[in-house]
Amino acid sequence: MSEKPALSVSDLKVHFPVGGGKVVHAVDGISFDIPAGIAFGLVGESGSGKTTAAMACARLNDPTDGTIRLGGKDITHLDGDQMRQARRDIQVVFQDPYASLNPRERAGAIVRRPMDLMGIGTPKEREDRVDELFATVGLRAEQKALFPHQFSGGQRQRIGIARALATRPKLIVCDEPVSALDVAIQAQILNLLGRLKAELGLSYLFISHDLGVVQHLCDQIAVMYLGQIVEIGSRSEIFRRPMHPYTMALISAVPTLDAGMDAGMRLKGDPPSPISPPEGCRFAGRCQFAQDRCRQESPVLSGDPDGHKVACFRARDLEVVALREELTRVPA
Amino acid sequence: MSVTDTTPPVAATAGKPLPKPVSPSRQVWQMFRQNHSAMIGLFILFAIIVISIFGPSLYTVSPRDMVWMPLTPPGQSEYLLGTDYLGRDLLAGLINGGRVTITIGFSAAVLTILIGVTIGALAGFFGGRVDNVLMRVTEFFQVLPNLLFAMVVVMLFSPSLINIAIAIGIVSWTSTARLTRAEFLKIREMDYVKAERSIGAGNARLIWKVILPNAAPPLIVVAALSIGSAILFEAGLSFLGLSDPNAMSWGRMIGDNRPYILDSSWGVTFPGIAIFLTVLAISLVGDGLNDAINPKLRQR
Amino acid sequence: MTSDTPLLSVRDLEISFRTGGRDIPVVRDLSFDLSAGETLGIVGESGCGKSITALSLIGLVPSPPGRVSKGQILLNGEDIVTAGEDRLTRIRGNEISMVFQEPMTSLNPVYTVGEQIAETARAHFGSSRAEAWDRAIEMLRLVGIPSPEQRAHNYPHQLSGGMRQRVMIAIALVCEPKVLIADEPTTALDVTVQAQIFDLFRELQHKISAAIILITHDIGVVAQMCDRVMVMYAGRKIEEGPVRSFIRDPRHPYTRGLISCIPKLSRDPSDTPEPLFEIPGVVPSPADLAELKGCAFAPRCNRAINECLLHSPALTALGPDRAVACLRQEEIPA
Repeated sequence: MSEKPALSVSDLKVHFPVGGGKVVHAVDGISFDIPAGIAFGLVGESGSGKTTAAMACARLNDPTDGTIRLGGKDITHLDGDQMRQARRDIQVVFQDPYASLNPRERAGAIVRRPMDLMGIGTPKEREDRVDELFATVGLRAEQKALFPHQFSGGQRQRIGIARALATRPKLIVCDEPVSALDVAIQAQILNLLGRLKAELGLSYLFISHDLGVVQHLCDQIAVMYLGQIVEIGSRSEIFRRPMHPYTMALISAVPTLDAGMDAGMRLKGDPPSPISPPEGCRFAGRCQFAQDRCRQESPVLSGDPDGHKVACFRARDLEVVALREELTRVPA
Repeated sequence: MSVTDTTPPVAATAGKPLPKPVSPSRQVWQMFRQNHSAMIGLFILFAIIVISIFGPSLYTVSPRDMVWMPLTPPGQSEYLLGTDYLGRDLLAGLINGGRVTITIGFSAAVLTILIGVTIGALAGFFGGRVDNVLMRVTEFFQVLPNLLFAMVVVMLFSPSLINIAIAIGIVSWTSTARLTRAEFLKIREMDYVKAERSIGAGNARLIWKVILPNAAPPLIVVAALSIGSAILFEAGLSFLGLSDPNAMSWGRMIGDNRPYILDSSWGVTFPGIAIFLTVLAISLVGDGLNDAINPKLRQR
Repeated sequence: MTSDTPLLSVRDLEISFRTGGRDIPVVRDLSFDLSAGETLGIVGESGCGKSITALSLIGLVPSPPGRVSKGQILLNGEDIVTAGEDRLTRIRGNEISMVFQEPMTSLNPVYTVGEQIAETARAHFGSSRAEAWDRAIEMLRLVGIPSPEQRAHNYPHQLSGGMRQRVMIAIALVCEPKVLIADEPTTALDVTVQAQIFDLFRELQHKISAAIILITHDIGVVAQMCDRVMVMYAGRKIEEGPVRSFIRDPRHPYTRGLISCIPKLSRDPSDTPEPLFEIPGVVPSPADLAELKGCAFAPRCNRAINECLLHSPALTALGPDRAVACLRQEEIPA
């Protein structure tokens, strides 16, 4: 593992004006590091800002504030050709394989395009690399001539992954890469991503709302709520010892195969609007443990400097710990 | 990069022969071919174009010479469709006029599309202030009374063929611009555009190489139909006397023969039929294209 | 909870679509029963005929090109397949309702949600405007929408996805149907909202003893919600049984694959997860199926033998309520 993290984000903010002087605080000050070779999961519900944050890391939307370092290099404000060169190291796999491939280009051209645009290798070398990439993701080289609509969803996602691998990036941003796929196909793609990570030493910034998927693929996980990270930690810490009530609610809401495991921690209502986020802890309005302090002060992410951190005043209080014990009891 | 996987899903498809690559445009053509009325339209259009190109060299009667008694009805002389008020051969007029009419129609349509697509593409792609300015310009042109404005343009700069085509182009690009803008607004949010950006594509590539080809299908339909409207527009201008004095067009034939309509209905009828057939054929082709393109959009 | 005569009984159903001049069946030989108060899960990948089966139950198979080409759908003994459009209109909503996956496109954007629920109530009960409006608010409260008096005046776009889905459910339930068909009702929703919606289903089922058909690809949802499960593959039922035995001891290789290919949430995750089980390939298209002689799953099956490619297996009963269509099911270890 190298010294510098593959991606280092500090105090990232992405705000969008929505007219009438209002501003959506889609991402509101998040920081995290992704060490090289690590899959980093960003989970949260719709509207939590996870996708916006990931797109900002790939510079597909403009950060309002904060810094993004890719392999130690500040890319927050890069432009034009410099950004184009930086993109060699950070690539994206998108959610919907039906929308992320240009319907008017052949599969081979789609995979070759990043190399064309960044001027990598000779035309012959690019063509060979495309063949190699097709094999890597489990497609046949003859399929290069086909158009996207002639592939199934899973195959299209393989093309999307091959395109992302073309420039030999160090980090791949995966935005819900399996949520648009059928269950049986999900497994194929998840295994492919897992294998590529091990073989190529890739790092992932992996966005998902599916905790099962995140648990399977990600070594480190951050939970987002309304534009902020409320808990961050390793896979085992997040699932064995969730500390934030929101994390607990998320875990408890996932239907499991065992009857009666549905321990019944239910969130009420909907998340507040990101246009005018509430004072204090943003989760307080839906939290069964919220106290006056939670509604007045904002909790800061704290804990082990390099390990499990949580942004909750009550994470160590007895009743919260007791609920966790109940939720995380491993059935006999 | 080495691949050491046990069971890639290739295994499941390995035995099957690969399908042939079918490009989206090929799919459209296959759909189009099954549409009878569209194919009839295409055939008529093709015939009219062939006649306009080769007709004058096969049927060598000059459309300007007085060849017979004026106002001879069809079928009463060697000049099949009769003569006009100056005794000129109507058939020769139709054959030669087709060239002019269709040329003006095509060039005006090309101009319409060039202006409309450029303005619409820039407005839709950049949005914000660019969009605001360009859309106000578009609205300005939209509220001008088309025919009057075109007449002013033609009268200001002599009624030559080029000026007429330009005048038609200038007054008719607005709806194309709006459609292009709408398509761009929709397509620029698609993931594949984002994906192109993520591999380092610049704005020029995104606009012309990525978004435009995907916005093309509805624009092609509009382009086809705008040839028809340009032909009608030219006929209207000629009818009002604003035509190139050196060129015979169908519209001008109608305009010239208008005063004698009670004595010789054939003088306006035949050019009228020619315009009608051409525009009808273009509409059939346009509708056929529309039908062929839309199912594909729906299934996506 | 089950009574003797089934509420809904589907017999030898076949649904065909006309493509390229011939009828291609997309659902074949499908029979199942549903009793009052019961929840039946239908699982399978997309393209297996789940959704079209659901549509056929309310007479909404898109026609042309589709039609029910064989069989009966008996609701309280009355055949829906042969019922006229007038009768179907009365059946929909009154006796069978449906909740679709995408709540945004299923609501009419130009009416308030209150109006939409009230209109449904008026059409079916012939009640007055004021009564219908009260009923709409009552329904919104029932499905757990906060301050329903105000929310009833909202248009669909003013509500969140979860609330829209609850409105859809309110519309589906306002006429107290005997059967509720939910086609992937929570796929577009977050897990915490999904949990709320399922609580609501259970509560309503308890209250009006409706039967629910739940179409889903999520085995976890099946485990939590359903009494009985039916697995469909390529237009056929290939396995069915009570939910517990179905999950504990799936007999068909496809069912096993479906259960083991999903990453299961563990309270005690390993640091080096094993690769997931993969079902290779994709569901065959109905046109490809017409060519196929043997078991439709054989080309993707890791236990297929030559016999499987030659003979299509029949559904064999394994006990009360339990059946599977696989030639090799006896050889598969439990």
